[in-house]
Amino acid sequence: MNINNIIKLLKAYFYENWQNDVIFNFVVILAITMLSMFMSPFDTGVVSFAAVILMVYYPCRLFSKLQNPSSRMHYLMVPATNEEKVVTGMILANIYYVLGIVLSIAIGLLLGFGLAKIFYPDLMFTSDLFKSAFPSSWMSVLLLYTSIAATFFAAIYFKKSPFWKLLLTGFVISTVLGIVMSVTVWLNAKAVLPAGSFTRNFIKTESYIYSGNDWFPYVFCCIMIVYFYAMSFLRMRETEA
Amino acid sequence: MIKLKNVEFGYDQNRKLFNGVNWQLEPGHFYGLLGRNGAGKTTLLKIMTGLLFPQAGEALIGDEPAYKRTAEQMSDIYFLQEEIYVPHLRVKQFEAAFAPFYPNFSHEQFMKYLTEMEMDNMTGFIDKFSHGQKKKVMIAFALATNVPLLIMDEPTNGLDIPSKSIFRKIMASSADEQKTVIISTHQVRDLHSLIDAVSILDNGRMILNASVEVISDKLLFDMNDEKTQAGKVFYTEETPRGVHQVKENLKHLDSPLDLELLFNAAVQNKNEFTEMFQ
Repeated sequence: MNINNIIKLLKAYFYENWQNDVIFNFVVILAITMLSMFMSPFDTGVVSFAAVILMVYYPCRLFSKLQNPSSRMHYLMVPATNEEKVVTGMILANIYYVLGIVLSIAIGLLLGFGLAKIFYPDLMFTSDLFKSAFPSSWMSVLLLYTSIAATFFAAIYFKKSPFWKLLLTGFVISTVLGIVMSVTVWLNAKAVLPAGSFTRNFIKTESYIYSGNDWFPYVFCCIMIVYFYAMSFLRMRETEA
Repeated sequence: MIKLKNVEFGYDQNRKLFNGVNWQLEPGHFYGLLGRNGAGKTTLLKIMTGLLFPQAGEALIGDEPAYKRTAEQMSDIYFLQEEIYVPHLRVKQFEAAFAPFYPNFSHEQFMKYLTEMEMDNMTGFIDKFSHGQKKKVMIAFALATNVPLLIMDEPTNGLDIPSKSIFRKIMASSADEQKTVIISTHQVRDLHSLIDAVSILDNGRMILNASVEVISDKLLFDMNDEKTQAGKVFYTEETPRGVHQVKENLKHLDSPLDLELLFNAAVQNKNEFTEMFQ
């Protein structure tokens, strides 16, 4: 892997996309954040929701060139290896865009606060303002990065309408798994197990799995992130024009 | 430099487009790749550049398989597509974004070619240009990359008549001993003065791959039987101006190569041509 090629790819990306990113993404989230300061009661839920959607959707925009044959050919013919192209995408999706959105929200909060101060002179600035807009736990951050990784893979794998196809795939998988698990557990519990048994208690105790294994969701998320990026590497290598 | 060895490929599992295509390109030549509609010319070019993977056989760039698409391989090739994609950039921005990928790119040449094609004063976004104007910008960029292998798929499609002449002039001036150019086209008249080697693809096989010199030595392009000699007639075509024929050139007479006649003669005498030019 050649760092120079990654820099060239980043440079080409910024030439092509900086206006879109600044005008249609960072300014939009900044405006939403500023407006949220005037909501009553004050709520940054809309900001967080918009930010998460933008960040998770971003890889679909990043690989939009894969959507039609002539732009796909142009992208594949750019003199850089498939690995360099994927790594460049990872840098853009996980660092550049996330930082851009976070910075836009922070600027939006400060500008919104300044504007609100004109109308409400008694308003006091506290760190709670920032805490309300940004994720409060590492688990949320990890889930966000897992979602970005999943969309990243979907963008390379599906090429066309990857976001909707990913949502549909996720919906189908979780529905099927949910039905299979529910039916299996319910049938066993009803037919075989007496009241008070382990399985019956398992159904009732929703936090059973996590109670003694708090590390499990963190490890699971990390594994999924690695899995999605590894699959992205392999899929990019197999991508034809 | 580029080698195709027994390449087999098909978009449909049951119908093969290529059945063991062999093709070797030597540096310093202008190849004209000819074939009927749907013969697979663009597909073959994509296989050569690693954009499609052969189902059997191999496509090599240098000593490495083309499917690897390494940065070194890709920076030695420029593929000018028939359906051009251009990003939302101005000409100068396009150059700044993509020229660094090509180590031998020349800004002076790029400006010179743009000027020759009357595109030097265009300041708008390339994707808003007409098809012909986009093509001119991309032809200028492709030539300015100075890559050892330049592939052009129907480069004159969409160009007006004066631009076609300029294109031929620029192409002729850009030739050098290290550069290989492949031009795939239906418009054979645009190629006449440029190419020095002809490759004809038909029915999943390369039925002819030879230099113009060798072709002219083995075939005689005759009109109204002016150059009488014994020997097989491969193709005859009656036109208002007389009868054109492609004959065996037993006496090694000189005659100007007519690509249309050659193509028609080749597809009607596949096996004989394959044998003759092996």
